[in-house]
Amino acid sequence: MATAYTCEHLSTQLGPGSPGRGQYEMLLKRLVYPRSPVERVLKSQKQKCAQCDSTARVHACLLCVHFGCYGNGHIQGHVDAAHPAGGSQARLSVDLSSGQVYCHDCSDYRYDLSLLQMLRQCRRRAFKSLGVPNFFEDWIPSEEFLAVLAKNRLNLRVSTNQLLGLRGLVNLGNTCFMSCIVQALVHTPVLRDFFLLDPHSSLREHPALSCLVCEFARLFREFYSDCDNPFVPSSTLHLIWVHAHHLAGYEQQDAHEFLMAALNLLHQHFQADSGSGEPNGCTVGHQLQLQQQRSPCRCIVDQVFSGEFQSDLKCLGCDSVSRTIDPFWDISLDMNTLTSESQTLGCSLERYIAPEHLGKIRCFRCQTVQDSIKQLTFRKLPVVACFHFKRFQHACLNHRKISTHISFPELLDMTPFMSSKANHDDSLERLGKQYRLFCVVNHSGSLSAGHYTCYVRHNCNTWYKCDDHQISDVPVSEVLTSEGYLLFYHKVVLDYHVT
Amino acid sequence: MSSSDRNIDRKCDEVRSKIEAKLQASGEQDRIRRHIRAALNSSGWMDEVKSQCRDLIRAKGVEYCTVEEIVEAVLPQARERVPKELKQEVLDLLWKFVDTHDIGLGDDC
Repeated sequence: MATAYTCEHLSTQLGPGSPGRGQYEMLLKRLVYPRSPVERVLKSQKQKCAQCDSTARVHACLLCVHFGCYGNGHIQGHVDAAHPAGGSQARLSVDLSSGQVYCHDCSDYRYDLSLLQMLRQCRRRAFKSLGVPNFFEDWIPSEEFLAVLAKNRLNLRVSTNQLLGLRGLVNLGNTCFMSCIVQALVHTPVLRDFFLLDPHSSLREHPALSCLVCEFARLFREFYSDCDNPFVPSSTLHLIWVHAHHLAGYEQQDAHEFLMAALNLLHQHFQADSGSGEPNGCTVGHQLQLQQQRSPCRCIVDQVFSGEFQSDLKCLGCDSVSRTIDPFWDISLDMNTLTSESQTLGCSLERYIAPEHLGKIRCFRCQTVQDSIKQLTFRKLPVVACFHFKRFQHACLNHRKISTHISFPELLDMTPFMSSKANHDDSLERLGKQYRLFCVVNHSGSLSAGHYTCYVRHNCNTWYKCDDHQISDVPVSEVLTSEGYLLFYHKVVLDYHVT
Repeated sequence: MSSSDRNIDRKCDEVRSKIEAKLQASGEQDRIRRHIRAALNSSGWMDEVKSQCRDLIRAKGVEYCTVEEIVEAVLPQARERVPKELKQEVLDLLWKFVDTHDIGLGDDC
């Protein structure tokens, strides 16, 4: 403990277990932070300077029953007169407005950590009895915490061009589909911040073996540790196998399916979190089907990936529109099979929100069978938008991969695809719809024999290619000219959560 | 000072101590202090003053500072920096208190 703000007078007189401390505690409870109306009345009567009746910064002498004000020097005068220096006892007084201790030998306020904690507790109780929320309290690390810090002295220096956070993943047998998604998630900025803060404590029985959130927290820690040799994600793979049977086995799986399964599991395993505990009607068991039924909860997956579609069904007979709002975690875009020319993300999105003629449907309003038009638009945008191009066609016996190149931008403006066309001129509104690319997952080869690789944006500006355990830096042009299977964009500007 | 001025002063002190006593006894003083503390924190005043104090302590050396010296150096500017809205709010709270509570002041106040 630093000696600059404490003194031996304080530590001897008010040391733990000393009578002085007991006295101080009583003073705190009765006169500094009274808890009952009776005690408050008492304080209003006692808190007065014996000499001048002032109520400003009145001190209580700890050696006798005397109250004197600080501003006019009356408490100092009293202590010097009634308890001259050189005696056996330390000359201390307590400020009744704050509970702080003044040492008359040092002529200064002196502090002690354990006394401060006592003070805070009394204050908390007093405010609780008043029904008033407590003062904001600075965090003081506990002894335990300080001990842990002292034992683990490794400091990692963070600089702008460092490689911390980049790590290869060993391929465990066609697990490149998993490696890419893990790389994507580890490089998602908001997720990274969340997992490194580690606020999750699982209530499940063996968290290390059964909770994907804990496993991801571990993954993040591994990626951000000082190690740069490739990581072996065997426990991650095992957890996924146990919880998502359709992904088990050593064959090549679809990276997009893996992403959805992983997000779903993270979302479910959050329900077992001791902290969040937000009920949302989810039951453990059905994996992907649940995605459509759940309502947005406060887990990190929903906070980061959850957006909303607006589906408008317009009856051409009576012009009435029936609207449904559906949540989504990703945006799956059809490939334009009519042309083999290069396509763009923008065109795909335009096709996505284009009105679609549905033929004759019975309308609820006018109760007739009429032509109707359906239109899908974006109602609410997620923090991270994941675009999935449906390159893999599984139609009867015709399984093929559409390898047409798709060009996509580094900066994406989602404004033209929104449901609400209002406020499009408001620059602040537009700002909330700007996205920046941070990861691209690519599939090379054919449906039966293929390989996944990904590009991730690290440290704001540099791009790296992750090919299982091999990480290499690449120019952004290489990223933007790659085929594009899964595209990850994040919002350029984050808003505060609007309730 | 004329005797009527003295009377007024005395009456002021009386009124003040009665109000203070009632504020403390009812717990309103703690509530108001909590409100002030929260407002000073959220407006950034706390952080500004803290950093001013920190600079002072760093310059002088932590062994050589007393609370009194720090307060003397920082108080004038800190006082200036208190948001005017907060001062008005507190005044309003105090007036509301005086109006709704029986302070026992008598008719001539």
